[in-house]
Amino acid sequence: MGGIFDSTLAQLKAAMDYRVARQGVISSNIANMDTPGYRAKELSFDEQLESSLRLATTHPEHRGGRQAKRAYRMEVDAYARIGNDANTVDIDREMMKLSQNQLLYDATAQTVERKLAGIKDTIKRIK
Amino acid sequence: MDLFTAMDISASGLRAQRTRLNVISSNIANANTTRTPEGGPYQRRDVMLRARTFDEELSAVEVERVVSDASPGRRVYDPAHPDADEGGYLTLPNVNIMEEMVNLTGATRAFEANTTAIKAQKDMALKALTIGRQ
Repeated sequence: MGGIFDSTLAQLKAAMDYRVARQGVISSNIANMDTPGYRAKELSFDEQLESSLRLATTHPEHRGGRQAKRAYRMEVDAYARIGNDANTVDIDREMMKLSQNQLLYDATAQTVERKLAGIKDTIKRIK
Repeated sequence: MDLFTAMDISASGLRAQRTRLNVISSNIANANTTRTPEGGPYQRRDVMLRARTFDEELSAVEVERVVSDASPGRRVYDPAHPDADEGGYLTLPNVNIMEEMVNLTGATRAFEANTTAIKAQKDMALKALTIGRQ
């Protein structure tokens, strides 16, 4: 067990980082919706890559040395269709992704809030 | 990569679309202009957008340049006009109002999409600020 600040918070932080990075990619697609030849991009979360970034814990006292670095990679959006000007941005889909990403970010932030509130509550009860 | 980077990218979209709106307004305003400093009727202009690499893999957008459309203008018979040629024909600008209005709507919508993106990023940043506030 990792004490009160266990790996959940680190995982939530990684999730929020991913949402922020994805927000940048979506904004980039929206800004380039009229750029000829622009290919829509997507940020995919790679589970295999993520587990390979995790440091091995060979002793029970080792903290899970999570390098929450880049567990995702940029790729050309697989669902994109090519229009007249070789631009593959589907603005409706991008706007949907924008709100979806924002909601999931908010949900994660709320979970962090609850988690911290729980820790605070525990400390109060000990006193 | 943070939320401000995303905001900068959306701002580049706003800037590019605003330039496009200005060019379209110029085309509409000059739909009947037969005299220009360069001589001859007004030629419609268009913006060329280009993706600019921003913060490693992301792309912002910028106006590469404003290009003139060299297609021939409309010719109308108007011998009384001072700019009419010997045959009495007047060459008007190659501006098609319908086309400009369609582009105007497109540019406005694109501008709005970028403002929506900026608002989403601002709300996300505010949400992060509420963590640990109680």
